[in-house]
Amino acid sequence: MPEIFAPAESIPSPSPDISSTTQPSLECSSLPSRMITRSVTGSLKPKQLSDFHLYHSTKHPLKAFHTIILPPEPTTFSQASKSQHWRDAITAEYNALISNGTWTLCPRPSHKHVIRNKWVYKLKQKSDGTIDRYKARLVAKSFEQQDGIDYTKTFSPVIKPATIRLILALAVHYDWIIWQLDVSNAFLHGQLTNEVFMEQPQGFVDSPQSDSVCRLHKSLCSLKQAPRAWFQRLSQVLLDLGFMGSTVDTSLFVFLQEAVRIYVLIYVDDIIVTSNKLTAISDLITKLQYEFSMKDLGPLSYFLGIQVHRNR
Amino acid sequence: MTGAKPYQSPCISGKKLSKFDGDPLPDSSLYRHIVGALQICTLTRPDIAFSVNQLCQFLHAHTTTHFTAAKRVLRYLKSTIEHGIYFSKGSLQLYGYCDSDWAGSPDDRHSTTGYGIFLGPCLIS
Repeated sequence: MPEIFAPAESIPSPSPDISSTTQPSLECSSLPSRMITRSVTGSLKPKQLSDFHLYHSTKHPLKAFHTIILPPEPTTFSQASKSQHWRDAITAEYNALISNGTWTLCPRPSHKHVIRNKWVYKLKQKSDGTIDRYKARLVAKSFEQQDGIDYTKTFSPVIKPATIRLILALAVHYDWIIWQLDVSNAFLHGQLTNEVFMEQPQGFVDSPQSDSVCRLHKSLCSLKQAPRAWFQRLSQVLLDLGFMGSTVDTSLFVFLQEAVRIYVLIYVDDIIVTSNKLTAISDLITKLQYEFSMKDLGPLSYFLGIQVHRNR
Repeated sequence: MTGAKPYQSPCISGKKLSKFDGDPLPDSSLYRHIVGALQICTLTRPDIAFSVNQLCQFLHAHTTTHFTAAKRVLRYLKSTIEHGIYFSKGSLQLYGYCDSDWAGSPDDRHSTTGYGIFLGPCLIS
């Protein structure tokens, strides 16, 4: 398992024989007598508290320390189109966009400008560092969007850390099960309210209508309003299912009916569900899967770079 | 930092960071990267919250002293890498603790306030 820092046990602490010969002359020269300090004995190991648990992640922000060699990610379309892996990834993404009804082709508008787009390529790694899959994404060059014309509001709430800890504490106290969901292509589910036009993606230009542009209906990754559109869509679905938005944290949704309580935490496309009834969770997952394509990640184990271990 | 010596404490007790200590450093992006990463670590590591807050106050103009302090937090994390938050069963009583240092800043005499809120035995904020 690639770890950023070695665990405390494997840190080379000064071995006793070296410290007994060199360290005392340095460390203890100013001391009145040859006092046995911890630096002399070499016992620099931290005291380990038994009631603390390991929370170490591989998707850590400091993962630059990793030294796993991966094939380079292409930066341009011409580079990527040379490899079969990347070509497959691009086709898969394009098909997902088309089947989702993301855009329709229309003649180039004269009154509005058309934003360009780009394919970006990303190697997804498994937690042990090996290649999971090749992923291509079509992103709009959102810096070409103009405020007030192509987008108006962009704010999207995310969960507060204290709310996560509070819900975890409650779930532990009542011995509730904590379930994790992941929405695939979350941003593509958001409905656009503004009219946005985009050039046809590179490699998929429709030859008879090569001057046509795509009129976006669903939001696309990296559009400025994408997170907001997605959050509004998801919260609307939850509200329709009888959830109430918490007044304290807008990303927390609560379902209270008779004896059933469900808490839903939303961090963009990562969703945590906890409930006192196991059947309520599976019901909710079925209902949500009807609306979005979702991955059921099972009991909570890894969320926002935090690893969670449970012993019950 | 992979070869750094582990350290037993995230900061030196009793020593306050001031914006006038040490020599100014020209490139602040590394410092900001480190402090930003440390802020994410405070999600599960409330023990470094105070030290990271101190570091955050010098993001605009950090000096060698602040950089050393940031590295010290990293060294502390190295020595305590297996720590995290532990949630256990207990009461649902809410407990709050707070402390303030009454104009403790050596630069502008602003106060620093810290707090911890427990739901029974679990630290939540």
